[in-house]
Amino acid sequence: MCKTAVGGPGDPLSAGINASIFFMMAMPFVLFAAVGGWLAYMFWSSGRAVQHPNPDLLSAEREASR
Amino acid sequence: MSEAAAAHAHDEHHHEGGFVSTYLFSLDHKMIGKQFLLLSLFMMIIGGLLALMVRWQLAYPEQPVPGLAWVPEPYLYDGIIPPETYNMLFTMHATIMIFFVVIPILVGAFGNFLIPLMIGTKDMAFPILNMLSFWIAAFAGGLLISSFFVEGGAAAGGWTAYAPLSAAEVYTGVGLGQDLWIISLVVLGISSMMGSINYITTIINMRAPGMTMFRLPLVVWSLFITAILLLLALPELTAAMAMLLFDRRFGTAFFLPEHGGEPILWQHLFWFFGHPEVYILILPGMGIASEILSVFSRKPIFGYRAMAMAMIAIAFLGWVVWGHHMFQSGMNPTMGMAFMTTTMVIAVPSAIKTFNWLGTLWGGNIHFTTPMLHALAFVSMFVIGGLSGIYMAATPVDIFIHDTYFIVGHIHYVVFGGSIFAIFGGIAYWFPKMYGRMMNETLGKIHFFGTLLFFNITFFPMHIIGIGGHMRRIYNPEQYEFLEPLLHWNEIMTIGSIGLGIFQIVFAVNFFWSMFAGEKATQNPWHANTLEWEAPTPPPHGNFLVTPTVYRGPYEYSVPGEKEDWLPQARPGSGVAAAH
Amino acid sequence: MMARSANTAVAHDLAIEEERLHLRVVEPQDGGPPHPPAAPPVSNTRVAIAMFLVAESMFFAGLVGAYLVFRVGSVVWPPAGLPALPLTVTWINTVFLFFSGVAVVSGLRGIRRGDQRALRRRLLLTAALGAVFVSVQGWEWAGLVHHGLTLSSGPYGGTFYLLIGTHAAHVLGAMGWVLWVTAAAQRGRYSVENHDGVEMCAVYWIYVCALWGLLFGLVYH
Repeated sequence: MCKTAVGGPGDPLSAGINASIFFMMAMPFVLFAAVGGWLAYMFWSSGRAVQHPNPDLLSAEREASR
Repeated sequence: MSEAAAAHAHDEHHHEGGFVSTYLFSLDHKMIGKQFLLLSLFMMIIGGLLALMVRWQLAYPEQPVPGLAWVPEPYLYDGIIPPETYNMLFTMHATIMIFFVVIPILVGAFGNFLIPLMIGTKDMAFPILNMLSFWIAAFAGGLLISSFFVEGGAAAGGWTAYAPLSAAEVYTGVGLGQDLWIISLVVLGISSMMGSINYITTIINMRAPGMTMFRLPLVVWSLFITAILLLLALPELTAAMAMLLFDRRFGTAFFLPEHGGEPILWQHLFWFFGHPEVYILILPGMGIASEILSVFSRKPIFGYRAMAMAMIAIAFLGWVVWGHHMFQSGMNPTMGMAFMTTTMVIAVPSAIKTFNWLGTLWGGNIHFTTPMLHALAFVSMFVIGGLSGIYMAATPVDIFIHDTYFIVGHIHYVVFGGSIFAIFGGIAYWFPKMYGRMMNETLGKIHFFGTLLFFNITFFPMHIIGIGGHMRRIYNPEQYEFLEPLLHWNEIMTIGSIGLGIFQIVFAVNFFWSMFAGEKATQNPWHANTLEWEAPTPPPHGNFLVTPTVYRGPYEYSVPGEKEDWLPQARPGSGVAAAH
Repeated sequence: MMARSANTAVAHDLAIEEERLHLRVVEPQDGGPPHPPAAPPVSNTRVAIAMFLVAESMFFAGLVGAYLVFRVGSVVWPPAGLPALPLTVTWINTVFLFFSGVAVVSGLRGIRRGDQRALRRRLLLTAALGAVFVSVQGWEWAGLVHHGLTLSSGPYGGTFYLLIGTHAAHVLGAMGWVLWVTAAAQRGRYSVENHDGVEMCAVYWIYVCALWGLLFGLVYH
C-alpha cells in the first residue's frame, strides 16, 4: 500500500511500514479490549454479590426514624 | 450547616506538620493539584515570552528585540535573533505550551483537584504516587529549562523533532540541548503515566455510593478517558524517544538514512503518539466546558449520554487517524484516502458535542459570569479550529496547506481557543473551591474580553496568510517575493500578540490578589449540583465530613416542580430516587 | 461524626487500612445505621498493576513497530555479513526463564497456604534463575559484539540490542522487585490473608517472561 512512500514501487520498505501501521494501530485496541474485558468481567461476576447501599432504602429509613 | 461550620473552623489553617509536608510534599490531592497549577502558570509565562519573540522576528525580521540587547551571543546578537535561535524559540514555545502548560493544568491540576471531590471520596487511590508524579514533572520541567543554558542551546528541531534534523547534531547545531529535551519528555511521560494509573484506579474503584458511571460529571468522564489515552500513548512516545536518543548518542541508525535508517519511521512513531496527544489536549477542556455551560444556563447538559459516548468515540477513533499528519510524506494516495476518511469520521463526535453544547444553552437562563464567558469562547473558538481541521482532513487540501500558517492557525484555535479558554474558565469556576475566595469579576471580564479580542487578531489572519502560501517555521518571510503582499499581516498579528500578552497580566493580578484578598466564598457560590460543592470551602484533608451518597445525575437544573433551579446530586430524593 | 477531618497522615493511614481490607466503609449522611461495606471487585493495587502492564505493553509495541518496519521492509534479513544469533543457547536460556516463572508461581502458591519457607525459597530461586538468564544473555552479547554485531550495525543491530536489551533491563528491574519482596517476606510481612505484594510481583514476573516468549519468537526466528 505504501509503495510510493519511500523509494518507489516495489520498494520492500513500504511493506514494512504497512505491517508496522497495522500492528501499532491494533495494539491499543487489543490492550483495551483485554484489560477492559477482564475488568468488566470481574465487575459483572462479583457485582451481583456486592451492592451499593440503595439510596431509596436510605431515605425510607430516614423517614421511618422520624 | 453547623456541622460544616464546625469542621470549617476546626480545619481551616489547621495543618499538622510544617511548611514542607503541607506545601511541598503534601499527599493531599488538592494541594498537589494546586502545585501543578502554579508550576504550569509559571511555564506559561515562559512559553508566552518565547512566542512573543517569534512574532517579533516575523513582523520585524532581523530587527533588534526591544529590551533584549543584553542577551549574550550566540543567543542574540545585540538583540537580533539569529536563525539558530529562532528555531529554538518556536521549538521550545510549542514544547513548553503542550507538555508543560496544557497537559499539566488540565490533567495534573484539574484532574488531581477535581476527581476525588467530584466522585465523593477522600483522596486519590495512591497519594504517595500522586505526590511523586508532581515532583517528577517538576524535575522534567527543570531539565527542559536547563537546556537553554547548555552549549548549543535548547532543542531546535521543532516540537515534532523530525529526524534526521533532530537525530544528528550537525543539522541544528544543538547538542546536549536536544538530548535534554528528549530526556525531559521521557521523565514527564513517567509522571503522566503515574498520574493516569492513579486517576483510572480512583475513578473505577472509589466512587461514592450511588455514583454510577453514568452519574459522573462529564469533566470526570473526560479526565478518565484522557488518562486512558495518556496511558496508551505516552509509552509509545517513550520508545520513539529512546530510539532518537540512541541515534544521537549511541551510534544506532533507526532514523539516519546514511546508515540504513528510515526518516519516515520517526514521523510514523511520533504521530502515532501525536494524534492521541491532541485529543488529550482537548478532551478535559470539553469536559470543563460542559460543566460550566450547564451550571450557568441552569439547564441539564443536552444529551448527557451522547456527550460521554462522543468522548469515547473520539478517543477510539483518535488511534486511526495519525497518517493525516503525513499526507505530504509521499504516501500512496490509497493510504491517504484511508486516513482522510477516518479523519473526517472523527469530526462527527466533535460535532455532536458542539450541537449538544448549543442545545444546552438554548432556552436556558444564561448567567454571563466570567467562567461562562470563557466556556462560550471555548465553544465558538473550538468550532473555528474544528472547521479549519475539516478542510485539512481532505488530502488534496492538506497537500496545499501543509506546513503553512493555515496549520498554525488551526493549532492555536483548538489549543488556545479551545483548551486555554477552557482552562481560564475552569480556574475562574473552581477558584472558590480551591482557595476559599472568589476571583474578581470585573478583572475577570476585562481579562476575558481583552484575551478574546487579541487572540482573534493574533491568530485569525494565520488562515489568510497560510492559504497565501506563507510557510511555518520560516525565519525571514521577506526573502520570498510572493509573500510580500502578506507581510503586513505579520505586523498586525504581532501587535495582536503583544496585546494578548499584556492582558494576561490582568489574569495574573486577579489570580494572586484574589487568592489572598478576594471576597470569601460560600460553600456553593454557583449553586451547582456536583459533589465538590458538598465539601466545605476550601475542603479539609479527607474532603467530606461524611461520605456523600448520590441520588441522581449531575445536571438536574431547573427541574419542574422543584422549588430551586438546582438539585444537588447528594441531596436525598423526596422518597423516590430520580430515574437515570 | 467520624473524625474525618484528620490530618494527612491519618487520612493516609486510613487509605492503607481500608485498601488492605479491600473495604470501603460507607456511612449514611444522617448518622443512621452503617451500611455493609462495599468492596471493589478488583482491588486498587490490582487495577494499578493492570494499568502499568498496559503502559509497558505500549512501550514495547513502539519498539516492535519500529522493528517490523525494518524486518518486513528488508529483502534480506538478517543483512549479509552479520553474525547469526545464538539460537540454541538462547533456547536453553528461555527454558531457565520459563522455570523462573514456575518458581514464582510456586512461591505464590506457597504463601497462599501459609508456607513462609516455600515463599522465600521459591522467590530466591526465581531471582537466581533470572540472574542466570541475564548473565547468559550478557555473555552471548559479548560474543556477538566480538563477531561484529554492534548497536551501529545498521537497523539490524540497533533494533536487536534495543529490543532485547530493554527486555533484559526489565528482567533486572523485576529481579530487584523479587528481592525486595523476599526481604519483606523475611520480615514476616506476608500471610495467608495478606500477600498482595507477592501476587503483584509474581504477575509482573510472569509478564516479563511472557514478553520474552513473544520477543524471542519474533526476533530470533
